[in-house]
Amino acid sequence: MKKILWVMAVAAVGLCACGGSETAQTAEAPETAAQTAAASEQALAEGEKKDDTGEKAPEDYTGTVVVYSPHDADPLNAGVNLFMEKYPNVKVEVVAAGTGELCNRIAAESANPIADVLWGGGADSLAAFKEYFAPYVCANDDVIDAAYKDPEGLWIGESPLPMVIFYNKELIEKDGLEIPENWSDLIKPEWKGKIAYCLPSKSGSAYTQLCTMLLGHGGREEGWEFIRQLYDNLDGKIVDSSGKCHKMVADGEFYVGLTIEKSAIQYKDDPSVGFSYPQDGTSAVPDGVALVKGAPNEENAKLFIDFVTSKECQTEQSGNWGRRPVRSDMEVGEGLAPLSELKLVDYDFDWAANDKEQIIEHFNDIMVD
Amino acid sequence: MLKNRRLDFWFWVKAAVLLFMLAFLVYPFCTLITRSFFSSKVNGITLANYQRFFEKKYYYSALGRSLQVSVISTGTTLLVGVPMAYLMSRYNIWGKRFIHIFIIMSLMSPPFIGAYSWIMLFGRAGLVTKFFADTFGIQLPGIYGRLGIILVFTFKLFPYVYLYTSGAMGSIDSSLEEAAENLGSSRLRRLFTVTIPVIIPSIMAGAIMVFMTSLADFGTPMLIGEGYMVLPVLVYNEYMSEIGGNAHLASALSVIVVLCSTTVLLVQKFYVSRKNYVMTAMRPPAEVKLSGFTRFLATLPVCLVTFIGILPQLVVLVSSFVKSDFTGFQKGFSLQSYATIFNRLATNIRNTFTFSTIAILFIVIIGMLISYIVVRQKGWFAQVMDLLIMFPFVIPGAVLGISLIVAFNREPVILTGTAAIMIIAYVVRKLPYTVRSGSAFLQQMDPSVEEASINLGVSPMKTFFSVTARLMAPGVLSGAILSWITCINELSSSVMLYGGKTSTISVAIYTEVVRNSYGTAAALASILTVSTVVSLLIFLKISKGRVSVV
Repeated sequence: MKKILWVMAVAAVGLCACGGSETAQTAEAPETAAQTAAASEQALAEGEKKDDTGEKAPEDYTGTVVVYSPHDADPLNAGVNLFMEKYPNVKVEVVAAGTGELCNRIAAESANPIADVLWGGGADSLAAFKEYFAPYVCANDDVIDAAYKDPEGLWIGESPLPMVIFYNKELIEKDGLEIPENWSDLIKPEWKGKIAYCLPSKSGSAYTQLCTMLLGHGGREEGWEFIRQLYDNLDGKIVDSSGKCHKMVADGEFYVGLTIEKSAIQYKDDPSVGFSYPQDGTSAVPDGVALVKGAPNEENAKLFIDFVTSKECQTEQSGNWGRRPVRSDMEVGEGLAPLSELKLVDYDFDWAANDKEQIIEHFNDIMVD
Repeated sequence: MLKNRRLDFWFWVKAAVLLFMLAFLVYPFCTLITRSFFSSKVNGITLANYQRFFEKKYYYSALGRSLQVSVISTGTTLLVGVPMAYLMSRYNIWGKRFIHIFIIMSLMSPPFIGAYSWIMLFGRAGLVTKFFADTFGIQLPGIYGRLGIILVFTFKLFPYVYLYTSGAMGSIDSSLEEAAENLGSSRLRRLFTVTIPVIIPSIMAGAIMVFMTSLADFGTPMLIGEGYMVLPVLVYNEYMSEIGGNAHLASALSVIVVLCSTTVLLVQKFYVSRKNYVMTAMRPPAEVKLSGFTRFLATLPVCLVTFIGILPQLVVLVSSFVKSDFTGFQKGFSLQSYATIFNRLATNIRNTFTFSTIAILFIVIIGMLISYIVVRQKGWFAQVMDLLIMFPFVIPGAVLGISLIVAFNREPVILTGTAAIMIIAYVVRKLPYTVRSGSAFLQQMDPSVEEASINLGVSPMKTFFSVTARLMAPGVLSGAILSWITCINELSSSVMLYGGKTSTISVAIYTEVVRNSYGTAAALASILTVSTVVSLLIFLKISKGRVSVV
C-alpha cells in the first residue's frame, strides 16, 4: 500500500508538472540565453579594452571558448591542455564527435550558434559547410601557403594530409603478396575483398581519396573506369567510417586500407603494419580550423585559431602525434616524407567542392549496378 | 451529470497530452515532413525527392533490404523469445532471478562498442573465428552482411518479446487453463488453444517493438552490414554526411521509414482489436517444479540464449581491463583505462541519472494517461494518439535530435544546449515502451471494476488514480523499466543535443570510440552496465516482486 501511495503521489505531482511542462521546461532557456548574452557582453567589453590598451597579456583573456572537434582523443586533449596552460583564464569546452555530426550540428544550430570554433575536419568537409563559417585571417597567415586555406578566409588549413595505402604486413607476408605501392595495384584480383574503404558520400576523407584517384587515373570523366574496377574489387564490403579503415587493417579484418597519413603514422611502433604513399599520385588536402558564424565568444575563438596555427601548437602536434605542420617555416616530423618528395595529383579543389553531388551520384550508381 | 463529469476530467487530460504532443512531436516532425517536399534545385513544392527514391536503385533497394531484415528478425526473435518466456514463467529454472536480469541486460548492449564486440569475436580476425580455424580447421561464416545483422538483432531484441510475453503469462488467470484441463485438453493443445491466444496482444506488442526497432536501428547494420545498406543507414549517411548530404532527400527517406512502420502498426492494431480477451488476473498459474535431469534440460537452452545475449557486454567488461592505446588493445591487463576516465566521470554520471530520473517521471505519468486514453477512450483521438506516440520510435535518434534543434533554436524558445532539450528528447523517444506495455496490459483488464467505481459515485479522476492506475501499475512499470534502461543508455539523440555541461556517460563512450580510444570507451561502458544492474536490483528490491515483468 505504501508503494501505491508513493506511485499516486508521484502521479499527482507529475500531473501538475505535466500540465505546466511547457513553462517549466522552457523556463531554463532564458537563463541560458542570459548566460550566453552575458558571456558575449563580456567578450565585447574585453574587445573594447583591447582597443584601448593594445596588446593583452595571456592572463587577460577570460571567459570560455566552445571547441567542436573530430580529432582523436590524444592530440585533441594535448592541444587543449596546451592552450589552457597558455591562457589560464579561458575555459575550453570541448564537444567531440565525428566530422559529419559536428558540421551538421553547426548547421542546425546556426540560428543561435553554440560553437565558436571547429577544429579539425578535412577541407572538403569544411568547404561543404562554409556558409556557416565566418571569414578570419589568422595571425599566422603569412606562413600558410595559399593552397592550404580558403580564398575567402572561411577556413584555414592546419595540417596537410596526404592520402596513403595502409597495409597489414603480417597478412600480406603470410599470403606471399606484394606490398601495394600504387592505387592501381588495388584493382589486381589478389586484393578482392581485402580492401577497407569507406563510403565517399559519408566520409570526407573517402571523398578526397575518390577525387584524388579520379584525377590520377584519367581525370573527371575517364577516371570512373578505374573507380568501377576498384569498387568491384571491394567485393561489396564497405567500412562504416573512415576511422575504421586503418583500425580494421591493424585488427586483421582487411589486408589493405585507404587512409590518411596522420592515422597511419600512429602505428609507427607496430611492426605488423605499414603504409605507402601511392606512386601514381596522392593529394595533400589539409585538415582545417574555422570560425563559426555568429560565434558567442568570437574573441576567444580567434585566439584559439591563432593558437592552433602557432609554431608552439604545431610543433607539439607534429612531434607527439605525427600531424604534419601546415607552416612553411617548419620541417615535417619523423617517419613522414616531405611533400616535395611525394607525387601529388593536381587536386582541383573547386571541382571537388562544386561538382560534389554529381560525383557522389556517380559513385552510388556504380555501387548498385 | 455523470457523463458530464467524466468529460471534464478526461477533457483536460486530453488537452494537456495533446499540447505536449503538439509541441514536442508534431511541430518538430512537421518540419521534417515539409522539408521532404522541397528541393534545393526546384522552386516550390515538389515530389522530386520521392521520385528520386523510386528511380535510383541505390535507394529503393535499401528499402527492400530493410523490410527483409526486419521481417526475418521479428520471426527469429519470436522463435527465441516466446519459448524463453514460457520456460521462465512456468518452470523452476535454476538461477531464475539472475537469468531474468541478464536477459534485461542484453537489451542494453552499450552503444557502438557493444556491436564492436561481435566483430572482436566473430569478425574475420575475431577470437572465435580464429579459434575455430586454428583448432578445428573450420572456417566460420563471417558476422558481416545480412546474416550477421539478423543474428545480432535476434539476440539483442528477443528480450522485448520475452518481457512482454512473460509479463502477460504471469497475469493469466489459471482458472482458464484449469478449465481446459478439466475438459480433457492435452498440455500442448492447451498451450496453443488457450494460453497463447490469450496473450497474443502482448506477444504482438513485443513483436511490433522488435520490428520497429530493427527497421529504425542504424548502429548494428552500419557496423556489421558492410556493403549491405539498409534504409536507416542511408538516412543517417545523408543527414550526417561529412561533405554535406541532401537534407531534403534524407527527410523523404525518413518519411518512407515512418510510413512502413505505421502501416505495420495499423495492421497489428486491426488484428489485436479483433482478438480482445478480457480477464481479471486474480490467480496467476503456479510454477511447475521440475527436478534432476528435466530441470537441467529446461535450464540449458535458457542459459545458452542468455549467455549469447550478454556476450557483447562480457567482452566489453573484459576488454576494459586490457591495456590499450590509440591502435587498439594490447597484451596484458591494467587499470589504466579506469584511471584515465576517473576525473571526468562525476559530471557524466550525475547528468545521466538526473536526466533519466526526471524523464522517467514524465514518462510514467504521460504513459499511464495515454495508455488509458488509447485503450478505454476509443475514438479518433485515441487512434491518432496511438499512432503519434510511435513516431519517435521509428525515426533515427540523430534525426530526432536535429529536428528538435531546428524547432527550438529560435526566439522565443531557445532550448539548444540545455538539459531541458535532452530530457524532452528522452521523454519523447522512450515513451513508446511504457505506452505499449501499459496499453497491452490494460487490454487484458476487465473495465467492469472501473465502471463499478464510477457507478458508485466516485469521480473519474479519483477512479483513475485509486483504481485504474493501481491495476495498471505492473504493466506501466514494466514498460517504464525499459524506458529507464534505454534512457540511461540513450545515445543517438544525445549526441546531437549535448553541450559541454550536459554530457552523459553514453555520450562519453561515443566520443571515446570516434576518437579511437577503445580502452576508455570499454571502461565507461562497463560502468554504465554496472550502474544499470544496480538500478535494476534496487527496483527489484523496492517492488518486492509485485511488478511481474522486472
